[in-house]
Amino acid sequence: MKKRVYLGEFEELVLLIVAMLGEDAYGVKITHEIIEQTKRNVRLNQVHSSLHRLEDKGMITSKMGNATHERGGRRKRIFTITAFGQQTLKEMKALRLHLWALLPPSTKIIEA
Amino acid sequence: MSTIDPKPSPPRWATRILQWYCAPHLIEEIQGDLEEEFDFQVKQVGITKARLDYIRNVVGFIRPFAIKRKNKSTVNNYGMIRSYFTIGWRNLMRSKAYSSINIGGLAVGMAFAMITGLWIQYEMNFDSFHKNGDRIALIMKNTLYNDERNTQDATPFPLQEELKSNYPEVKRAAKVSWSNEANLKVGDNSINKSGRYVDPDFLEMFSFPVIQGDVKTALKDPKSIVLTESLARSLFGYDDPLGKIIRINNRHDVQVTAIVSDVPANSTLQFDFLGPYEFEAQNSDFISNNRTNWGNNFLMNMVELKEGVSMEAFSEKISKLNMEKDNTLKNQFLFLHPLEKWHLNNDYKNWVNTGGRIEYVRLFGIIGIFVLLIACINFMNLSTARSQKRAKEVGVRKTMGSQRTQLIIQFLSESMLTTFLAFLLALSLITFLLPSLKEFGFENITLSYDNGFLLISGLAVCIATGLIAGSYPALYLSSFSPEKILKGIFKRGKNPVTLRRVLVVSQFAVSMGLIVSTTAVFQQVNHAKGRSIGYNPDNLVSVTATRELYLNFGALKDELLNSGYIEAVATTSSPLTSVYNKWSDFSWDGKDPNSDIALEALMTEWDFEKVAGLKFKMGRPFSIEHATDSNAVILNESALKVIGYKDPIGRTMKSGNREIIIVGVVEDMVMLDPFKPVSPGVILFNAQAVNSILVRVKNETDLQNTLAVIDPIFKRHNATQPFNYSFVDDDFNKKFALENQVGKLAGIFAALAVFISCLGLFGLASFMAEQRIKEIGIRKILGASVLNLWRMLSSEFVVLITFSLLIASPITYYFMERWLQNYHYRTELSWWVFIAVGSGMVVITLLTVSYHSVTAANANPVKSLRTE
Repeated sequence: MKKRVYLGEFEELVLLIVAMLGEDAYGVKITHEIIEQTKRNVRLNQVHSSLHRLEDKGMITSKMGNATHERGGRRKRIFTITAFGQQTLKEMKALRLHLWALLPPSTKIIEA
Repeated sequence: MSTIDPKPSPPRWATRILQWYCAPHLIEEIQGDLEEEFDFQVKQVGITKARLDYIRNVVGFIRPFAIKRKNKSTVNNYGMIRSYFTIGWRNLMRSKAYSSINIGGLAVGMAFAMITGLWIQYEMNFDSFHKNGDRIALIMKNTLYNDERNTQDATPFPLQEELKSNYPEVKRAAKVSWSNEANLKVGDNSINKSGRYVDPDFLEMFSFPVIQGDVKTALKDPKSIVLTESLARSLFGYDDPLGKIIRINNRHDVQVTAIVSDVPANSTLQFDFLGPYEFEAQNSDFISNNRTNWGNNFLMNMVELKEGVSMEAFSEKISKLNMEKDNTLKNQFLFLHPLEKWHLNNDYKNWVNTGGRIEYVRLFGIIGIFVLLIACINFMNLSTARSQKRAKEVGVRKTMGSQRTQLIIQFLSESMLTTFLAFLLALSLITFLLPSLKEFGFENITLSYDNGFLLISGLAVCIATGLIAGSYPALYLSSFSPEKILKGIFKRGKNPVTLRRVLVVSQFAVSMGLIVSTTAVFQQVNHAKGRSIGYNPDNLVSVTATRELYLNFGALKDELLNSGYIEAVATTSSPLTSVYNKWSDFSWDGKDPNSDIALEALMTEWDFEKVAGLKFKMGRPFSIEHATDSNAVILNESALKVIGYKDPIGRTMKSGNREIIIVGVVEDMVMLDPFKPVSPGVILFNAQAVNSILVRVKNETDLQNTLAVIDPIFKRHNATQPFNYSFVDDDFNKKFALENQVGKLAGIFAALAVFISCLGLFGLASFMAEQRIKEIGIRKILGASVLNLWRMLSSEFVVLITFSLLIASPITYYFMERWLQNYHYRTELSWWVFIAVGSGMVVITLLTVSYHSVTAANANPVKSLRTE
């Protein structure tokens, strides 16, 4: 049986953002999106490193985009989520919901 | 005027750092992202902060994922590498003659270089087995006699006691005698062996392993003796030797108190047995009379200092000890000669250590390296020449998809394979050669495969040679584009040819230097051998005198003379090839009272002039007809010069208080170093000082026959002790042993160098002739004669050799002049040697090269032009 692949919290975040941004998912954009959505102080290198790991794990694939006039004419690497990535996200969400459902009622009240 | 604001840009140096570390396949996106982020930050926070942020980002990307290069291929190379070896092997096999020349030459060079390495290792490790070796020293003495600064190893008897009891720096001290031959007898078993008399501390100072007995007490009792294992075995067989009694020189009984292992060959101190010095002192009137005399130097004193004591400081401290103890002594300065220097640095000139054997170690080290260098050069030369043939192979390989690195690996591994074969061959050559090199001073050298240093350096040479030899095809040939090579546009550069010329020139320069040096060494030996030595060493037998022979000398002499084979017999105080006595108590009219001149003294009796064949310059020999001749003296020419009498015959001089009359002057006798001037010496009449008996055999008689006749005569008068003799001419020739050995070795190396160089030349010439085969064909068709072609093909080599002669001559001249400076009595380097060696080299070169040039020139042009 193939070893199960787990995601870290930050990786999950990056993966979700990649899925969210669609065709526009590349390094700088992803970083800015994370900062905007979470108000966390995230740096480019952390995101790049995370994207690398996700690609190694088979959650995302990448291809070079077209050259533009920005960035000194350099191409962007565009990331896309794979079916496996989507599947993993769904499983994680399902697991969370399941666990939420199992919480004692008092806790739910506090949360609410 | 309006200025356009330049677009703000990130710091360039940071970008450069990024470009340096970042993996090429990631650089585009990362750099792009960073620049976009920078532009974004400029708008947000301004240019300065944006720049800082950029730098922070560049540093932040120093992470494994960004640095790690993408693996180009993960293909298994095993099969490819195996194919390299197969191809390499086939290449060797395809041209067997060339391969064997190449590998054989390198192997011979390596073998000899390794033998030299072994020898050097052996010499450098001399005496290194003593645990306290770094603290042991021999006390030596600088003297000033006859205005000459000399250094001697003899020191007086009381020195040891003084040092041991009054100097806290000294841990142990021992008097040590020179090697003495003694007769040892157990029952009927009688052997002559050489031993030393030493103080009890000796065994603890030095680390000669004691097998049986107590180190501390073994030499305490004067009547004790310590034997080496093999001596004990030959005296007592398999019986326990400890406590057994041995009779020494048929006079004294001593008891065996300890057994030491046999003294290793790499020990300066050699002995078969050790006796207590006290034993020697009690049995010699001379020694017991000098127990407190600081002026008589007749033994060696050795000390072991305490840890942390500096030898230099202690030398300084005891320097004037002799003169302090006896204020009549002048100009004697003691110093320590450390154990590490005994073997290799044992020469003193003008009170300064001038090296000694170490010079030869260095010399042969250099020669060994040169021979190795020649062999390696050869190998590279031939390999590069051959590899040009493989340009097409490179082209084909490249078209088939070989990468440059693969080609480099291929050629390097191939030449490495070849050098490794040579290395294996060299190892077996050494094993095969060593036994036959015994007579050249290599008898103690063995090749053991656990000699890590040697094997590692051998392998290092292998790899280095392989790398350099392989680098031409590996780096040069592989750099061409395949279509050029395959189309044949590929042109051989000038570089390899020039390089090869330089290599050939340096090879022959070294060979030439070695040959000239060898010739000079032998010239020097012959020069010294040819000098007049003042006596006739041929047909002269020197017998070691024993007590019995001394007592029976009168009858012995009569019987020898009556045998009909013997011309004359005489006793002497020392054999003719050494001097045992040197005295400074002579005086004469007009001697400067402040001068301290010592004269060598030889004591003998009637007939000595006939025995030795003395050459008289003036006066007459001792004669039985002159009653007063017991007080007569014969001077040598040097002594006459020192004494300065105008008309010496009949004049008197003094030995101590005894008046002696000069009756004759003889030509200087070379009894010591044949390369040095003869010291002033006198021949005194004294029939009691007998250490040798000299026997002159009649000229026309057969020496072996005579020995058979005189042997029983000696036996009759020397019943209990063996008959020990040597031929004086042999003894004299032994004085040239070192020079002869050096000459022979240099000769071997020179022959080797020439041989290897010629092998290389042979291979090279064959290759060059082959390369020009079409040219030769065309020239022949156009009417060139065989002679023309031969001259064309050979002339280049002759020019090269001449050039190497011009380089080698001045260098060799300089070094050989310097070597000759070591000798007082020396030959001149003559220019004709250089000319002779040079023309010899040219002839050898022509012979080597001609084989190929003549073959090529004679070949049918039709054949050579039709091939393609």
